[in-house]
Amino acid sequence: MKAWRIFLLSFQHVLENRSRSFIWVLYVLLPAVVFMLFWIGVVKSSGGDVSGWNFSTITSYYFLLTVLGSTVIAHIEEDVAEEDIRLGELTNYLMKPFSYFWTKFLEETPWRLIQGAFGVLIVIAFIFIFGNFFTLASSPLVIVLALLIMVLAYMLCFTFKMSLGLSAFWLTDSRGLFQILEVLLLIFGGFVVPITLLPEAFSKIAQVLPFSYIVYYPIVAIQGNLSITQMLTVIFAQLAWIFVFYLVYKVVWSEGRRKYTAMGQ
Amino acid sequence: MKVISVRNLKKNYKAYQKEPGFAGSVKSLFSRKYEQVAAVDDISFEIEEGELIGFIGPNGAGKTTTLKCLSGLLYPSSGHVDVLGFSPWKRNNKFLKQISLVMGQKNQLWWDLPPIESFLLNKEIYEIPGDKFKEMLSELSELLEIEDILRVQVRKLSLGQRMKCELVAALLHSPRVLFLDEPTIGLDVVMQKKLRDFIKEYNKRFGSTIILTSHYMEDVRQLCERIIIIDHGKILYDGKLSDVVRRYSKEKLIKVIFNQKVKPEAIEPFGKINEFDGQSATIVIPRSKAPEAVAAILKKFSVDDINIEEPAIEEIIRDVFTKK
Repeated sequence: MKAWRIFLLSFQHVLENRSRSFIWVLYVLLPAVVFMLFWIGVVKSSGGDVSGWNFSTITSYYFLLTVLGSTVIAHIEEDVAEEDIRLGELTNYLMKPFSYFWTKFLEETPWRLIQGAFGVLIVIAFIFIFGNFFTLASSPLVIVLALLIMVLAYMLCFTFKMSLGLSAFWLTDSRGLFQILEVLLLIFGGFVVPITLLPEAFSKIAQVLPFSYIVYYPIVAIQGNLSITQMLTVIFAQLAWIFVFYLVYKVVWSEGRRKYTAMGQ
Repeated sequence: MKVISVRNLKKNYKAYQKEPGFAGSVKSLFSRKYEQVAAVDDISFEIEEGELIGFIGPNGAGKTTTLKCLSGLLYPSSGHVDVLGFSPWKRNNKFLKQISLVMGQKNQLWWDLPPIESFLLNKEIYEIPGDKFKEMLSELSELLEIEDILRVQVRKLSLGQRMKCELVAALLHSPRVLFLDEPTIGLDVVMQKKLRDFIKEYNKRFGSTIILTSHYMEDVRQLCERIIIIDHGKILYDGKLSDVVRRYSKEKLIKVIFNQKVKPEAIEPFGKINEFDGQSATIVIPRSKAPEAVAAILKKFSVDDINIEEPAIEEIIRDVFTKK
């Protein structure tokens, strides 16, 4: 009930700021369209096939990227670092008999749902116009597993970014660190190009790092490009990463709180 | 019953000292000199249930740091803090449900939603039963006269209205201990008085323990029987507000109105003249000599009215800080 109330309230807050949500979706959509146009050119000039990717799979990849990028990528780190730690908003959370981590989770989720909904509308418009070029999984089991992978992708991204935000307990300005990790997410998460198209060494690194489990794997799962075994492996890897980042969060939180000075208060 | 017990509490901050100028900046790239600054330096006190206590001190004295240690926001560098039988720092839910912190410069209300939404959120977070919530909300809204703004967006409210709503949000769960940090800061005198009256009434009606910091002596004078004066992280005085006057003020003020004009030279022998306009004067006199001075003035002049007064509390406190 507590969680539901926080969620509902955050939802109302997000609805008050709906134009902001829409702009954030465009922020994800525009680079995706640029990358898509580039790769469509590459696919065309290579006779319609680049390492198993064709015109249809590559366009649907980037449109799904828009939906996934808006839905599962949490943008909580700046909020945690700047508002909560640096400007002292954390004080409000610390005074409440409810976990900071879960309050933030419930505050962030409505943003993702609304932005995801905008993303879905854009994809529906795309399917309506270019229906023939869109590939999506059709088996119910695959769709259910793909949705589970998407939910876990959000949990993974959220847990990772919460830990990242806590760096502000030590760093005067964490934004540089955030930018570096954003670039890593772009490259190894599959934003620029599906990770199988990366040079082999990079592709191998991408499979080890957590970023591909946030963006790339959820997309190829919903496209129906993974076997059931592969999907289960992805789910296992996601759970393992969530566990790792949650532990990191716990340690960083308990150490960082000793550093907190409740400044600006 | 003791609700707060603090023994030898210390809280240090690490501060980095930079030499001035560009050369200092370059030097700081290679070696930085850090210094431990004691914000709270070995303080001890106890507070009984139901007390309304004022923490006073200049900026940077350590008042807010103490409050933050008591409410569990800060980890004490050393010493022992016990509030309601808990170590505040551990943030036990049972502890957090019995305390509240209101800071004059910060808010917990959701900015773009009406205050009632934040109140309903607190109802869930603090697990306040439905009827208890209704009762408290109607009682507090009535006391603070906010019934008609419950459904107005917080960002549309004035500072005073917002502060009232902050207080309601902080009190809905009937905290046993309430920390108020500069609750009247930035408010006009009418609103300051309203909030003061409310705090007093709340303390009386609910028997909560209230610890207040304020720059406005009027807040402290009107509300607190006991005060703790802090400066440079140390307690300079802990006791009754009325005693601080006796203890620190070595002088009294004699205010006298004469029936006819007098010359200043005529009253100079009695003490230091503070104010004088020909027919009335304020004379500063050593505390012990006040009665005989009054007798002498009455004997020498034709007096319309004469009063012995204590110096303003602000001045006494200022003297305590400047160790006059």
